[in-house]
Amino acid sequence: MMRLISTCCVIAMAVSLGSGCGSSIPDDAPLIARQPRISPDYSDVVIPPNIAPLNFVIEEEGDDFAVRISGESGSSVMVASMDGDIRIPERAWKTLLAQNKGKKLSIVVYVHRQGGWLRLSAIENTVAHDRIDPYVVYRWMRNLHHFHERLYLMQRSLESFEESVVLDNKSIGGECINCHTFFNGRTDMMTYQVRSGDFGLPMMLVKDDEVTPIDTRTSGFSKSPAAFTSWHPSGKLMAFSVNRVSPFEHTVGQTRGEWDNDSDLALYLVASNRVTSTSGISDPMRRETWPAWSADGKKLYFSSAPQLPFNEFRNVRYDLMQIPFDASTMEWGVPEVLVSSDKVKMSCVEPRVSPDDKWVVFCGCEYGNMACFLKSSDLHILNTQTGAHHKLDVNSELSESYPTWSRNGRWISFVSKRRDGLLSHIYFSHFDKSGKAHKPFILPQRDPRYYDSCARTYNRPELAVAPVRITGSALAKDICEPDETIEPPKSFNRANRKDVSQPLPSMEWGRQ
Amino acid sequence: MDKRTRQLLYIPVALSAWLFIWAIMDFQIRHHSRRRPFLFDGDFIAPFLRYVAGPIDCLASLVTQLYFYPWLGALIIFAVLVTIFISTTVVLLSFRQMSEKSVERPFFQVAVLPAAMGLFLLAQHISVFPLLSFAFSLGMAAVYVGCSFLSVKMRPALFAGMAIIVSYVSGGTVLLLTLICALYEFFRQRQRLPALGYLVFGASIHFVICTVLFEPNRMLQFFIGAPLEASSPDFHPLETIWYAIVPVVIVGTVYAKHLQRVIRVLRVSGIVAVCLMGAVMADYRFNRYDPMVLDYYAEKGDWDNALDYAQRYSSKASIMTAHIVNHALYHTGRLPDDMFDFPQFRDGRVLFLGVGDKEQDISSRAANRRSDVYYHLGRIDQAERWANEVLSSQGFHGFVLRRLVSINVLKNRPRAARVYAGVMQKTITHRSQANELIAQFNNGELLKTDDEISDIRRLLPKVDYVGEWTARDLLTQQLREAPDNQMAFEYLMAHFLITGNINEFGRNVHRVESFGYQALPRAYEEACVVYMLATGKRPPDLGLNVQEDTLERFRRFMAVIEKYDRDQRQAWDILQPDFGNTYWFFKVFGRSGSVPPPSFDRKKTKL
Repeated sequence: MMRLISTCCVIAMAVSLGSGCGSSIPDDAPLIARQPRISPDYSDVVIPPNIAPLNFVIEEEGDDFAVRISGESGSSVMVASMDGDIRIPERAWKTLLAQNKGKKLSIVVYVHRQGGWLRLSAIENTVAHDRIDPYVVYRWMRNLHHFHERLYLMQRSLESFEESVVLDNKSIGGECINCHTFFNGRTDMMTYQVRSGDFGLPMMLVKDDEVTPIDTRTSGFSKSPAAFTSWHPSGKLMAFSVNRVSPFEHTVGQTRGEWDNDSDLALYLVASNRVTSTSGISDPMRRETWPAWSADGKKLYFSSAPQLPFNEFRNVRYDLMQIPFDASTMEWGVPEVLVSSDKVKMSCVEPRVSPDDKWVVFCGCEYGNMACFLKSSDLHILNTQTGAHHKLDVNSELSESYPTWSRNGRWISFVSKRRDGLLSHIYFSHFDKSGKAHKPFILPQRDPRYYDSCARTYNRPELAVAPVRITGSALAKDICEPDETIEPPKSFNRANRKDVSQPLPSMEWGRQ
Repeated sequence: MDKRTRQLLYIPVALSAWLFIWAIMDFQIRHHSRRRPFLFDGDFIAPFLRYVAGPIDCLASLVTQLYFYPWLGALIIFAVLVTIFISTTVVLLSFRQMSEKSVERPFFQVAVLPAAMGLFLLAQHISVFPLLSFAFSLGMAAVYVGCSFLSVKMRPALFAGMAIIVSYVSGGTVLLLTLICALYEFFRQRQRLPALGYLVFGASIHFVICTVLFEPNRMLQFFIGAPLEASSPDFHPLETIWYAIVPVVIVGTVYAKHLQRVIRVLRVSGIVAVCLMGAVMADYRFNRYDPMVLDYYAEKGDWDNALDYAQRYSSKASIMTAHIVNHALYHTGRLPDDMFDFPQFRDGRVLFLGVGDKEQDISSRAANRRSDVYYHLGRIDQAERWANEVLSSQGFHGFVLRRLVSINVLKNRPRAARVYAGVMQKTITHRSQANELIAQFNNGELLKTDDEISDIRRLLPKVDYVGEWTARDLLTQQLREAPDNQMAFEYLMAHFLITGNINEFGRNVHRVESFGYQALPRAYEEACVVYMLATGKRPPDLGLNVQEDTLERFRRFMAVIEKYDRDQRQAWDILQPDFGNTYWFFKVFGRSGSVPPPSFDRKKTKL
């Protein structure tokens, strides 16, 4: 009720400001020479010209608040608030951004205190020329440990606050869904994984409106199902990993940890329904994971680490590798270490290649391959032409993970735990032509206080050029009652393949 | 009696009914045990709108949360029952002209039956979800028969609209609506063909809606809320009778030749049935062991009541009882002395409900209790893990959210603690607590002066223990990290006693002196006697002595054991009154004397 009253007051105040009573805030209000504290922190950031309003809360003392948002071109937007919640009108915001592409956007905060208005130093943001892909698709769930009951595959328009459920796991009996991957950001061609006691462990292939479960295990490559996938730019094949992941707990620091007991990579050829691999990406002496194709499809990037037992989990560090591949002949080259974990003393995982093939963004963490569970994880960038790499300027003291590129290569999206140290949230950073990543900003929400009471974590954000059109019911039906599950023919046997499903060393059980 | 007097009588009748509901429904326990969270939050409510019967499910969650205030819970249930009663009356009265016009009052009394039976089922067997579904469907049926003034062409349209709404809102109960409407058309309006059409349409449209809002178990989804799917968690066979009352009475009304007489019989048997149900409900409420009561006391930290309840119903004790008892005994400072006065079992799962146990109980109740015991031990990683398991499986519960606030403060994540307090703010039960916590957060003093937090912070491990640990490993680690961790010590000793590891007990019992004990606690003293018997020497480094009268009692105990060494059953019977609360008794029989004896398949009695 208080929120409603407050909203009404805000509307009334905004109307009065808009109708000329705004003169009650003097232009020469005394200046406090510092920037205001606002939450989320939307100061000194570069934003896309098509982003939804960056609503925020003014965390300053005061009994009334007002904000003037103006650009170098066009008129300004005035927003008033009694509780410090600033909700920017969508239409005015869009106009403002459109008029100020490539220019500065100034946010001036006014607070009313002890009978008078005060003005704080302006926050200066920049509106980039480069648009961001209009949708982001992510997993949304509680802070999971071993069990999960309810999780969602969600999509959110970045140009508005429109959000919808792609797949609610209640419609598949509460089973796990993960690792959604789009072909070139196209949502009409995607894969995601299902882990279900009742419906098996298929990789779901969505092509146009057809959903097909594929059980890669029948190929004999591994008893483990496909996990992390990457579409080849031709759309004819995909690389996938098979992993044996199980959770555990730390008594100090971040509680949840994850151990990948073994992993390998293979290719799934869509048209011929075949699984193939090579020793360069499925070496029995190493664990290979996190496949990522280069934009031209001639190289497969991945992470690779030596086989070590669980009690040495802190020593499991992954190298960043690449292996040449010729899609026309299906021939592999020799794998090459791009970033040696021994040299940099960190584990290099989750590589993602920029659409222009010039950059590879990846996570560097103390050990292991699940960066989201490691406080030490930071985003790094590799210049594919020079081989040089460095830490990006977007990192925090806490975990950064799951980086991904926009289709124009000018935006990096990732999740970070910087806000509270526990829950992951989606951030975006502008990556300019010089290879500089700018200060990131959090996914804006209609309610500026949204994150203060959202005890859910965002996982694996993937930027997309269009919303997922296929309905959740259709996706669920094809998981639970598929017309046919595609089973690639057996092409591996014990002689040419190690068994990756060896029992886990003293790990706990879990449904994931 | 004139009409006005009769109307005035409704007030005390209604008041009595409300008080009766309040008395026989233990609303606090129901609120606790039903584990249906509700948040005033769009993100919480939206998922309910995506599946068949989700809206009623959401309402059921809200009502269950309102049980927290028993008077309000009783009022809501009363209102639902009145809705059922009025709807039944309206439906039945719409058929009365079929036979006799003078039967209005008896009908009125027969109409009490579905409401009374609904309360009976709610009190003992079902959650509020089927009750709300039933009330909604019956209410819609009443609206339908009340719209008799509509034309023959309009009524099918009304029915179609209602069927779609009921199918989506309350699931399988659309079949009840369909049946009543079809009967109404068939008998009352003499529209035979449309009546059949109603049956086909009602079932078909529900099937279509179930297909659109797909869920894997089609049968369960189709009959959700209705009593026709036995695999439904809320199903009870009596529900079928409950659902059948109205249609059966309708058909009976039509075909009974001597309606007055039939209704008279129904009235008498109805009154008897209602009285019987009242008696059964009262007995169920006041004389039944409910493990959730113990869980409720444990969650509230009401340890004295937990111990009283466990003792009162010790004959029904389980591993969970023993788990809660040990936790309660620790908090009341009685664990080393009185642990065998209460239900105990020789079972390694007692203290932690299984550690590293592949078959461990993973219900939310067990998860919650585990989180609680790990929290008080200072093993915050496991406390956090199990609290999150409760959230994952059961949703946002006030108690668990509050626990996560504390855990995150202990983990130096105040902003994460603030997030959980923010969610608490959206609950019905923990709103004021949340406001207080958020105010503290805003002042930068979140739980800074909280004694419990200070105590536990002292116990937190500084070494990162990663792996799968036994109970003994875990307790030893906690003691290593904080040698003054009294709970860890007492639990370690209890673990040795429960698992019969008397040598380890003897090696460690000397540490009792560092916790300020001037004399050996009773259970330890008795265990020391066993240690001495087994090893022939005193426990090393133990400065405290075993009392002479304890040794004397032990001699008497052993005399009986030796006498009945081939008849365990008789030994139990003789020893249980005097020695049932001793460690010796537990050591021999594998359980304390307060629980029922085991099946004696072994003949020999041996210490």
